[in-house]
Amino acid sequence: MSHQIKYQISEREMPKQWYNIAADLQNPPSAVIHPGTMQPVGPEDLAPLFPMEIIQQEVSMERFIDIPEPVRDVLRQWRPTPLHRARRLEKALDTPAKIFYKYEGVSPAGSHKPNTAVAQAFYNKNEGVKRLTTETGAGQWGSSLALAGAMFDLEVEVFMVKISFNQKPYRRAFMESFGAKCFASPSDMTEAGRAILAENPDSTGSLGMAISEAVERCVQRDDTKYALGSVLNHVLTHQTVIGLEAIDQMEMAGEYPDILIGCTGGGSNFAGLCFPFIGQMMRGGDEIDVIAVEPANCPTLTRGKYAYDFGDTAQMTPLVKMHTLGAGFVPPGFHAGGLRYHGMAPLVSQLVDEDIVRPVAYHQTETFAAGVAFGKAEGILPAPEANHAVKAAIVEALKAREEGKAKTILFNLSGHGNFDMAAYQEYASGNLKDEAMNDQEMAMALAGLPKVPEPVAAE
Amino acid sequence: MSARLDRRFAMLQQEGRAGLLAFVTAGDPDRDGCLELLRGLPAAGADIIELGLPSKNPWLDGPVIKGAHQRAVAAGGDAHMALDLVRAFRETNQGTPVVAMGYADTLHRHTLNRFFADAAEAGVDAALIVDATGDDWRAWRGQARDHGIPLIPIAHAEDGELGWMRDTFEADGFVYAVASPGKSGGAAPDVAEVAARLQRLRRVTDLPVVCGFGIRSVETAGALAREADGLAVGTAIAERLVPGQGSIPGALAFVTEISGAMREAGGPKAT
Ligand SMILES: Cc1ncc(COP(=O)(O)O)c(C=O)c1O
Repeated sequence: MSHQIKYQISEREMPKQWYNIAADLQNPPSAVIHPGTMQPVGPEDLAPLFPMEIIQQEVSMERFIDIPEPVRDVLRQWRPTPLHRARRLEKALDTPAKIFYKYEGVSPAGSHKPNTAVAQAFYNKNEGVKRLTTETGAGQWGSSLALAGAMFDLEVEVFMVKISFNQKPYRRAFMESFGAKCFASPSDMTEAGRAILAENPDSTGSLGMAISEAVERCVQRDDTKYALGSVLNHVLTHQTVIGLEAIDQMEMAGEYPDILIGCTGGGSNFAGLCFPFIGQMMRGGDEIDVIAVEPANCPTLTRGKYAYDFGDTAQMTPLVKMHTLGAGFVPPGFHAGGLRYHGMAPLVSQLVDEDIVRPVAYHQTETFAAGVAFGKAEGILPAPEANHAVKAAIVEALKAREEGKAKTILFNLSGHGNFDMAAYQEYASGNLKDEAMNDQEMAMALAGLPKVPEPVAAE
Repeated sequence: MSARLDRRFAMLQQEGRAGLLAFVTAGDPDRDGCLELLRGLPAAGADIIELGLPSKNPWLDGPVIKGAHQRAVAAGGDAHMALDLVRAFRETNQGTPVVAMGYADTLHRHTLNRFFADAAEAGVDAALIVDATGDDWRAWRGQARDHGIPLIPIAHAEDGELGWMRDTFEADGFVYAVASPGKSGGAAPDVAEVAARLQRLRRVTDLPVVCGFGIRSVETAGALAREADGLAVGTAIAERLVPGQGSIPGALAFVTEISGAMREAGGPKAT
């Protein structure tokens, strides 16, 4: 059919395996370091936090990892997600570019996050865990783990970055409806939270702080484990269902991307769409311009340092090599809560460092302008995080028009913005501002990076 | 691109106010009268001059500016005369940017490439083709840029964010936002509506935003001064040049009045 809008594959065609990009990397991934010993961490170091199956996935070098049938069975509730051709957007931009987007907002929580939440809940349940703790920025991840917890009968505790907790009351209601408990972070429930509040009672929180609180709660009880919604290798691997489906769907559409785009907070939705394509490229496939889009106010990839750092503010996590603004960096309170993380997935960082991925940064008001415009054309108001990807897609489509080239662009529309109407309202009323980055604060946070002897190769 | 234009907008931002773009048609009321007017405008308070290229068919203009075109054409006005006037103006003024504003038809008669080259040599700082479609703009922008002349994109209300993104992508100079649809000299714009629209437009482009069409009264100018980086006023000046009804000193006095109101209002709220 010509002028097709949505390219859909059937439940039966849903991927049966995840793709693990570690198998195709030219250089081995950097080791994860124990901050006490400065030696690579072993499985026993991570066991208090994660179930064994997840730990094995974290260090796996297998190219494909089977998706357990119970996980596929839950994913089937909304997967495969549709691939859209943005014909109305193309027309409005008058561009020769062909714009496609993979729409992850059709999941019950409204984003890509349940793809890994379901898998993590399953593995924890399988190993006898009763309770999961986690952090959430925008509320998308907390909602997803709450949902997955309900599916596999696990208790869930969510520490939600305070600014988002206040901006998005309905995210909390969503989590609580699925039986999860949701607390504003920094809270007075943990040592880490109390220490931060003692120093700054008005702290609006950060993902780094919320991780500290969730990890602290986790290690207090034997029946409790911790779940992370992004950054780690296994999370990125779980998200590759997105790209694996997209490869089939692009084939249905008879196209192959020249440009791939995803927004990056911790890197999971970006990796989910892009890694399977990057894998093809690294195994000798067509060149693709792969673009990671981040907020100018939390410019991890474009202005951060590629170095070993802690994943959290209280320095409780192991050290990972990634692009970082410093674990002490608190980004200004802009609206894409899911992109307010000081670090980045080590795998994404490595690909940026190796020039396989090209990072760009945009300011929040221009991303909202892009999101509103996209909504008017395509009928979907994206999550503020996803607006960053939309903005980059529009810029690339306009460039294609300038150059008169019929480029094929594929981006990840990682979530809808239906819980983000407070932000859209502020945008509409003209109250949304682009705060200037405090360069001094950034330099200070970077100066505090831990010293780690290099080089350390993975075992 | 154009140093003079960039400097002027930087100065306006520093002073925290919107600039006044005074539109006059080259050759109105006649060549010498027009030169006198041009020379008087900066002192009267105009920050930028928009010089209209005389056209026999100014189909986007209302009766008042149409009349100005007719007077200018009757006085032998055309693109050549317009550039001559700029040269003469530049003999005594190096600081005030001049934007050549014309219909595609007039420019084509001069041949476009020739026009941009001549305009740059004469001391023109930017060009605006009032009836250019988006496609025209894209096709001609490169030629203008080759001569160091920014071709100003026009943001129409009905285009919305996507249209503005499309039409201002890779532009330079400034963006011209049409305040009220229809012909020049039409109904006064709804200030609140235009203000909201300009705010949306500002998020799509980093360029200065100039608003024009329909700004005739001191009140409207005062109200909109807080929303745009510049306001273009044309009909209200041409009105004061109609022989028998007005005079050059009268027109300049009006420019002083409207510029005073804008300075009093203060600059754009948005960053
Ligand atoms: C819709 C959406 N997109 C993107 C992100 C950013 O996370 P990641 O980079 O891990 O995809 C989030 C995080 O909350 C999100 O909710």
